[in-house]
Amino acid sequence: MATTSTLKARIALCLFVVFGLAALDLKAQISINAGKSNLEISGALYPIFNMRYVPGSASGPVYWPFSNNQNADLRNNRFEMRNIQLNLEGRYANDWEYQIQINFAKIASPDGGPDIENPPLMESSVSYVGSRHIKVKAGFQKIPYSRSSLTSYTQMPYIRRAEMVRGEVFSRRDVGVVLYNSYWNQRINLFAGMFTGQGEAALMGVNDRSGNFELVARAEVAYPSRYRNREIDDNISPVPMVVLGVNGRTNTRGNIFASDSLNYGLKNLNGTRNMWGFDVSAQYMGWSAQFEYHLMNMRPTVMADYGQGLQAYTDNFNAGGFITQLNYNCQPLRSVFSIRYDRFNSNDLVGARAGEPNYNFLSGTVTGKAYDSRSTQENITIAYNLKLNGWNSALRAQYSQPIKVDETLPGRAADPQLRLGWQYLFR
Amino acid sequence: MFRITIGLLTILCWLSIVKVQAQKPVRLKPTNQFHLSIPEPSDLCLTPDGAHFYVVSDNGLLFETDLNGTITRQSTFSAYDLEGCYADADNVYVVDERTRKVHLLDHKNLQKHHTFEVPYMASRNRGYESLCFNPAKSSFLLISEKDPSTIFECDASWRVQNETDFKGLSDISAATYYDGKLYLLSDEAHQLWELDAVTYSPTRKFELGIINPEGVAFDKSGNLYVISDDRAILYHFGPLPSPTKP
Repeated sequence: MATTSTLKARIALCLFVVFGLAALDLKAQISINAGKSNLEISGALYPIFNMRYVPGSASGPVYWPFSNNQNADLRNNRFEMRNIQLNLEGRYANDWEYQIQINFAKIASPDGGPDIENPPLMESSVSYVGSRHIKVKAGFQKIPYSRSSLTSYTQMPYIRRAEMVRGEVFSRRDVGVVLYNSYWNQRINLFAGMFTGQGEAALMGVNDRSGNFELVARAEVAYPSRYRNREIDDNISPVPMVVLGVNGRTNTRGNIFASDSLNYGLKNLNGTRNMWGFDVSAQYMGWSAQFEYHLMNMRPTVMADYGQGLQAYTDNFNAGGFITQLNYNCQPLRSVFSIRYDRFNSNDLVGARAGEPNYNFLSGTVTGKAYDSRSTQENITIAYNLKLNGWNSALRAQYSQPIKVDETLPGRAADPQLRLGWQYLFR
Repeated sequence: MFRITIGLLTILCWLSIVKVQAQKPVRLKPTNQFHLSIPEPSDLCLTPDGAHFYVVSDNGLLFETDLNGTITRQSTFSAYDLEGCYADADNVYVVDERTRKVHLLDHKNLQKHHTFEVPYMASRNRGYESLCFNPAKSSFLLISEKDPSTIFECDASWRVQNETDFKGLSDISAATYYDGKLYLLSDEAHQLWELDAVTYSPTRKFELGIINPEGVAFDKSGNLYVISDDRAILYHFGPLPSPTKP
């Protein structure tokens, strides 16, 4: 016999199907021309339903990790607006571009007030593109690091990004300047940027007491033609296409540890963080695949913050992991199927948070115990997307199953989650 | 709960089933290909003498090339995002997708002498992607790319006289008229569709198998030419196969 919560969940699922079909022929597109100026207005609405399989009422409420909010019990299912988005993109002649992108869904966070990790302002930038030799983009923008992070949510099969690239491990947006250009018919793209290093928190207007900036660089090479930032082979590529990206970033902060205690404590390290990674994406005949790898080397000012009792042995630790994904775009069914595996180790100093000495594989420092994987998490996720009206109106479903949780972090439940979303874009 | 998930996915799969296109496209293979020195070429058309092409680019430039794509002339005129072109004995016609303007240029010096605005409020990259003349209806055709793909029939003053939503292709990246038929090119489907020039109903479909086809033209001998925007390549296909009689 179905429980009340199960019945509610089934009703919610039916509502998504019904409303999704009702959106088949909705359209809304606007652009305005005035002389050399062109302004385009677009946006998105993206409600999602999050069904949680968190067991055990006997264990009591499960709260948001690292949060003081004691009202959100993670055992409960929820509705959420992933995006209520307004996007203004303008151009003047062939020289200037600007963009303002706002997500009204993120005006408030579970803790009240703006969500610093996912700020309502997604983009606020101006670009000079009038030179053949170099282009400049300044303002609050996506950091040119990680192909997965750079790919728009509208071009990926998942409602939620993999843990490593969804903004909790490294910042995805910041205020700064990027120089970039393309060569060889856009097969080669180069980016070099300088940012505050504060990440999304830069919108609060504060700087870092060290006075340092974060430096970022990325290079992409595609063959046999330019490769757009898409995870899905939307056009059923008639010939195999591949792109390789390499990126790195370095950041030295002077923050105190307490101010950076959200999530993994890696985004805004008190000390020096060097990151590098590479990514590969390929597509052919509707099939597409991505692989992305990241390695972060941390040199905290106070090692004890990250490896209790280890400061006498080592001055650094590593974090990182990889994401691999396979997608199939079945045009006759208007459907996209995907499977993703991601693995992330938040601190290779085994049991560091528990004060146990360990082995650092980068420095080779042996401190008493062999390496193990208690701070590693692994997830496998499957997704299904139904294009009702292309990507302008699409139903999305995502089921994620943790294979292993990070045992060193409190509040990370090893429970699967189902997410259902209806993406409606007006553009 | 897991059974609910599987059940839902099954329902969604069934809901997504659409009618399968009954007519299978004929696969065409290029007989030759030439790299272009034109950045992001987006359409081409034959010059009235049949010896050259006009080629427009996403950067708002107009070129004249020989039939192998070698540049012979470049216009000093520049717009913003030229996506379609057509030439008759009097003028070269180019359409700017961003500004929704049709510019008329002189063959001799490739200088602009007239501009017409044909408003269309869709987003910047959903504007007019194709331009050609349809003798069967004595109309210029402007075709929007997608969402929806609409065929606008215009008079000589570029006033819209009629419009038809075209369904079946996910997008239309170029159009041309040849030998009593209208031909529509799709970038996303990599297909060329032959249409009845009056009713716009498809008569034949061809699979091209090339990346990002954005321009299509026939020469006076009936050879097919297609331009790939992303690869900046001009493909020669030879004449289309003769239609098979039922």
